[in-house]
Amino acid sequence: MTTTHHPPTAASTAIIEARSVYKTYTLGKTKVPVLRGASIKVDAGECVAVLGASGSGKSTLLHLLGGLDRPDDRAVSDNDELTDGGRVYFRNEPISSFGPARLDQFRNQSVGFVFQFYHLLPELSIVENTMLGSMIGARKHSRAEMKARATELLERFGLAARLAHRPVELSGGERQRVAIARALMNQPDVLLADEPTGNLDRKTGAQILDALMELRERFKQTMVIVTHDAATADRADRIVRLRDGRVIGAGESLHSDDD
Amino acid sequence: MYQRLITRRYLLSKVMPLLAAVAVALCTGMVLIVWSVMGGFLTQLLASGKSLMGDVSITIPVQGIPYYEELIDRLEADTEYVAAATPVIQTLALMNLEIGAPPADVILMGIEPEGYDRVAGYYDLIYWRHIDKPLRKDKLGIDMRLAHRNPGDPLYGPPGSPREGLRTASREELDLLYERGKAMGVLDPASNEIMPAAVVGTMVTKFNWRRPEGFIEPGRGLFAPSRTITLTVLPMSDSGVMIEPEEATLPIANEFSMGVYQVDSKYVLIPFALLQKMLKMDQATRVDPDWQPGSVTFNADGTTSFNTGTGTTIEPARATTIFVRAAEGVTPDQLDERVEQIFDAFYEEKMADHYWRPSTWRENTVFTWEQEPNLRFFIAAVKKETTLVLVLFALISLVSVVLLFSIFWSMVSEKTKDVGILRALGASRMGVAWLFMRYGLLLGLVGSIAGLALAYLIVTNINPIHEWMGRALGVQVWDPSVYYFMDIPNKVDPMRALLVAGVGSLSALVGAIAPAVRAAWMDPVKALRFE
Repeated sequence: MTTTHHPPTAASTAIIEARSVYKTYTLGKTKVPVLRGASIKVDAGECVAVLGASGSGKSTLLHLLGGLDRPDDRAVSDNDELTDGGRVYFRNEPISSFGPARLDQFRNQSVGFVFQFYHLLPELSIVENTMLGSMIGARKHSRAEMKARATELLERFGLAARLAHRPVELSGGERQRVAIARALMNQPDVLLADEPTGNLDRKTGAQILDALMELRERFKQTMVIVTHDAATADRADRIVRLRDGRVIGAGESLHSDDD
Repeated sequence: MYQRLITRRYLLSKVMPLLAAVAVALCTGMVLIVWSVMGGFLTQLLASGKSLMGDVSITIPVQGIPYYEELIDRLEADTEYVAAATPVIQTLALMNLEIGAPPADVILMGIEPEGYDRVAGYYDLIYWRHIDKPLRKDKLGIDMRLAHRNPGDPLYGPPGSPREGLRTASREELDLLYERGKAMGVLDPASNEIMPAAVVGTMVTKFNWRRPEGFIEPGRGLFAPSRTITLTVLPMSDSGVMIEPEEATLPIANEFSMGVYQVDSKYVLIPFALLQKMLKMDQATRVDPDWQPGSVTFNADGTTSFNTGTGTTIEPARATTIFVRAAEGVTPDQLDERVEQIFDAFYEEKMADHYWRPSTWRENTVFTWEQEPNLRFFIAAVKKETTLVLVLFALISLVSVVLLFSIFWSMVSEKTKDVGILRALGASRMGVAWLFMRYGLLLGLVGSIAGLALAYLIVTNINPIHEWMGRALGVQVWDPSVYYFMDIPNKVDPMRALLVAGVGSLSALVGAIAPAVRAAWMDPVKALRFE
């Protein structure tokens, strides 16, 4: 058995990149390998869909990209080689080297999460939920500025009349739009969406997807969308397929630059 | 910034924080109520003994203390230790009331009012007098203690007065009653002389009853200061031989209330000189048992002389007890030691020839009020009971802390998903921990303040509540004859209140720390998946 390292390639154009990442969860006494050397590279302005069946490791890959979780320290590759578990890079910098404060800042400023189940705080109004990320981050804006930006985002997503409402008073589609607005609040470099339409009916899901695609079109927002739905994945620039924790085939480009 | 917003929203949003605040309020309230009542009980007990007998007493029960005036002079001369001293005679007596109630045994105490006031604050104990501060429910500005009096009683005003249905004694009448109590005398209109009178404890005659509002008032047609009392005592010789019983019928000048049931229901005060005389303890000429009429004495110079004389001797007046009050800054124990020294010298000089002194006189003659034989065992029992209550109190406090801890653990657990969301949005571990600690502290503060208000309301109204329980539910938890005091202690010590509120808030904070730290160090991915 030999040990393999994955040094960053020089002058990568990727804004965010996972290289040969391994992740194993322990359930009781059983070790469940979720990611087995998966790699993904996302360039600035690109919208990449990670497509895979349930349990293929796509959400775990998203969590690693967003710094919510870390790859294993050590792993055994398919070739029975001892490897370092892989790394995630943000602008060519390994986020595993980030200290706790830098990592918190990375999650706050550089990425924005959109979850399948929205994950809004039920006690806060939607404008407060939207402002939350900004309030957590460095205090470079006043509360009034934050509120103005949150209001503007919510208006853009058609929620102008719902600012003071609580999440429980909103439909699923409206909640997901609030979640997207919250993720965009700090103008992140990368938007990470985990099954953003997974909890919605087809029509509402399509509307959410339209909203995300509009972001890509108008603002060149870099996005990684995790989905098990091929139709959703088809809207992305490129699809990365995951099966049993491995990326299968090369990422296929679905749209020409002219699209 | 976000912590403040979320804490505020958490506090106002759901039933759970309200329940937690109620739990904190109940815990702090309960602890403060128990502490106030039981602590107040001991404080009241310690204060009450002092107001009966000053700080230290010298007692020789049957023989009495001869030349007591001189002893008092010597004591009062020692101004460094002694503020005042007064003679007292205490004895058992039979009491008969004019209404024909069966005779009852009482403790009869002969006092010199002025001296007794200087030592034990007697004037403050006199019950029937004008009170400056209106009693509760005294909306008409009248003394509610006499609002239900008998219209036929001469002390009360004529029917049809402006305060119809609530006629009561006037200020002048109450002032007169007070003066009578102070002087222990009533003016006899026939002879225009002051007659000696008794001042009885408010519960001695059984005429009075305790109102739910917390004061004592006479039953209909039964007002002790308009009655007479007949007292029978058994004088004894200084060798303990019983002499003929003595009886005296006296008007009741006033009543006194110390708030201590055993005193208020047992003690009758009369003028010192009267009791001294009744017990034949006043100065008297008695037959000299050593006198041998006509005997011859051979003198040293060779002459002889015949013994002449009257065959009588002057026996000095005696008091059974001297109460002594300590000077400012002197503790009862320091005074006790000093009084022992003074009395020892006095005994050697004045009493040794005629009075037998047991070897244990120090323990049985001079003692602080805490060592007084009648009180000693009771105080010891109460101290034991208080210790037991304090142990229970500690257990209650512990239960409260554990309860708060459990509530906060479950509340923070309920918010686990929020932890994941906040961490995903970039909140630091410390930021999340502080959010929940702040939440716990705020809930603790809100609950503690509510608990203090609750405890204050209950403790200050505990006597009316207790009376109501007695009437409505037939429950009498506090029996004055068992618990010594007429009233349940109803004062809240501000320092205790602050301490309890502080511990209550701190318990909530401690209860929140562990789950907050647990939440902060939780894997955010696991927290997001928490159901």
